Amino acid sequence: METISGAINQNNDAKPVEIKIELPTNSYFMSGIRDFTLSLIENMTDFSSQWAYRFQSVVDELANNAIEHGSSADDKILVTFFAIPNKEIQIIVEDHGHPEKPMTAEQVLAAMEQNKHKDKSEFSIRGRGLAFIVDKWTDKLEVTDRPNGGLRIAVTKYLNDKNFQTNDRSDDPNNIII
Amino acid sequence: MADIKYSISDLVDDPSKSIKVVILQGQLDESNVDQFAPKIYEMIQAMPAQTSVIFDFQQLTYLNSKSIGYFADFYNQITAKGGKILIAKAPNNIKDILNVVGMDQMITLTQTMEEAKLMA
Repeated sequence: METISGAINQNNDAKPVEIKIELPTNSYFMSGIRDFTLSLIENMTDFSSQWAYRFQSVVDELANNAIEHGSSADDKILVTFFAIPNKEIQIIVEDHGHPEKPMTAEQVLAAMEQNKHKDKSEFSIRGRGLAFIVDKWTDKLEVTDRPNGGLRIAVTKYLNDKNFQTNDRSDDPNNIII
Repeated sequence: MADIKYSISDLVDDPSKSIKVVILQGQLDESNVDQFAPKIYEMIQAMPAQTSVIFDFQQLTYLNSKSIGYFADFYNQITAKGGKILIAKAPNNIKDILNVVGMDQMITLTQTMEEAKLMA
């Protein structure tokens, strides 16, 4: 996992920002969520464009995973963006569980771990999203079972204080100022 | 729903090679990739052996993991017929995602179409 640096803004006392979006379980809406993520990152942070695109992909993969594996048709998933200034950005995706093929947190983590170690030739169409895109572009990934069914997947990107002092909008993916 | 436009043509620059060029414009994601992929499977099935395929990504703005999975499968099918698969002119964000899943170790990426033609 890579480390990025930065802060929500240059005010160290800024309050956390939380945005919740409830989405119908239909991939039709995903391009809108991607646009929103990109706009949010670009307008609220000093992320390099490379990291803005990376977060766009992380949100897309998490939400698609929740829609396909964690929900029934005509259900909803909840996407939460949570940013603590100077400290971290967290994205949380919650679903209600697939009615016929529910997966537990333990099963999801086991599948991810298995995919991480697969040979490239062993992959089907699926399996790269959580194991590579989400895992490699975030610092912490927590998968937990929700009390009434479904999963909660939370990913966190920590901000590196060392580079926080600068306001250099660099293309270096390891130098991101939020 | 994300928009994806594509065009498929035969490259006639070099009569000694059989090359298809697929130009993509827009976003490939969960909402449209299952409709797009069969068009490429049809093309692969219909093309003669030893045909190479160049995907021009210059105007592709988004690619999700499932779409990448399809490209891995296109790779398997095209190489099984003795052809090569190349991706030309991918924007940085697309190269980044291909890199993070290791697809750049499987499919050759080129900066220009000329490079891709030479390698095809």
